[in-house]
Amino acid sequence: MSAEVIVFDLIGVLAEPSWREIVPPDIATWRRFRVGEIPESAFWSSAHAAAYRRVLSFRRDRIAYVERLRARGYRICLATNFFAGWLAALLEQREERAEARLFDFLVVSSEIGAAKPDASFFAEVRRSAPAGSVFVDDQKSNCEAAARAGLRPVHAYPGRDIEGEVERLLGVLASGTGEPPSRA
Amino acid sequence: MSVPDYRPHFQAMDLTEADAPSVLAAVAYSDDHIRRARLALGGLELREGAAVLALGSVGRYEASPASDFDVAFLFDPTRIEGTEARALRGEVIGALRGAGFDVAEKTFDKPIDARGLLRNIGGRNETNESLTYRALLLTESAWLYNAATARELCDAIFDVYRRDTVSRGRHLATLGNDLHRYYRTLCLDYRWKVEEGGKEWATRIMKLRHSRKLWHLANIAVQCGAREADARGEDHDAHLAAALNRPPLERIALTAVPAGRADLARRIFLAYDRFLGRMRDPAVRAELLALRHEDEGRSAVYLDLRDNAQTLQVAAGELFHHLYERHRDHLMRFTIL
Repeated sequence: MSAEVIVFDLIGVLAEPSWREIVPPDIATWRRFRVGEIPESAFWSSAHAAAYRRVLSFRRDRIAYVERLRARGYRICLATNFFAGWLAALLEQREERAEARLFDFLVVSSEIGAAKPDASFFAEVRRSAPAGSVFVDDQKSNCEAAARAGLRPVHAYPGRDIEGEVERLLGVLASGTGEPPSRA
Repeated sequence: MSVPDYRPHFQAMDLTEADAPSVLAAVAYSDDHIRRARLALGGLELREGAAVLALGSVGRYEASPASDFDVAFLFDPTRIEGTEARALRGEVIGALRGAGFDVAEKTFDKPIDARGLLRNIGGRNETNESLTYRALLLTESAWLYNAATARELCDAIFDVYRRDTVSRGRHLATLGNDLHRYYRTLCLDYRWKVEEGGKEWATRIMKLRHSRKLWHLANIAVQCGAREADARGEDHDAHLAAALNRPPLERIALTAVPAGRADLARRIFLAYDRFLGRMRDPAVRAELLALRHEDEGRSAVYLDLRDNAQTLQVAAGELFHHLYERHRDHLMRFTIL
């Protein structure tokens, strides 16, 4: 089976920082907020909301790699435990209004009502990414859940050569050229 | 580095929060300091290719109101020129001071070319400065401005050791050697500062015998932990990368407790808590600052800290002995000989 979709986590892989680095973590409230059960105003103050949007940014090295993958014909799925409003602010930094320019598919926990590592989140990912797709995440538990869902995980620990690992898996998965099948 | 939580380790170490008040106070103070600094700098335009990080005791989450606030400004010269970096650094320092932070401008007094840190490692053109930055950015740094660039630049430092093809060995020998070398540099810096630089000696020797020694032991501990992960079939580099940027106390707990030596971690925690508690006291600092070397035997403050350093040394030595018994060949080759 082709693996022309590559799935990336957001915070810790493509962008920084986590909201936890702005306010002391209230994990119980976060778990409700991340799946859309409560509004942002119930999660933190407007001052913190504004501050987080100001400090959010993509990692240039990782986004450059995503862009190279897209140029080679791969499609990119973003799979993140995140608030859609934060993602919109992040994408606006790139002066893009069409989210599809960087990502072909978005699986955002606040929009779908499910979060990693729950199987229901990965069921949503699998609607876009076929079995065997490469999945990149900085949380080991999410990588393990991805493997259970039929994806091929790359654990993005600090300092890891993400590009090298993804390319290695793409080389294993593809027909031998490292390129996905041509799109119809 | 993210804020440590020592509480999950306390039960294993037979400790309560009341046993480590200074450790916990240091975490709380440092965490508040870092978060406020991030908010203060969040008002600046996010300039790609530049990052600001807290180093030293703040970066280790061991700070107190008596601590210096060491701030490092890194820039990638392929994305931002030196003149712009200097100007941005000035804005950063101004924003921090405007928010009430007392920024120390001693060691980290100019923008640092982050790519320059990745070259000449071990070569004749290497400097003490680049070794210092690599060691501190890997082991005791917390971002204050531009988390994404900070993460990218720090990852690049780990990657330069990881991707070595000939010298890395199975267990990143160059990284271990560099951290070991930095510890020895600190010991020699002490000599220069007190003998030729005219700096006060007592605070420095107590920091060497406590925080710097603990840092060194923690580096050895996580390298041994990574070898054990490798032996279990886990990813050695992943284990090491994740553990290196944790505070030294947390690294000690993460190594000693699973190895069945929570008793040693407890003794280290207690001695270190006492050290942090003493160093938070302005009166203690003032006495150490004024203490002449010939008067050391007449200072109860100094003698108390010296005894505490010895207590820490004994516990640290026992932990090293424990690690040596499990990793004899590795430690003999890369630490002792």
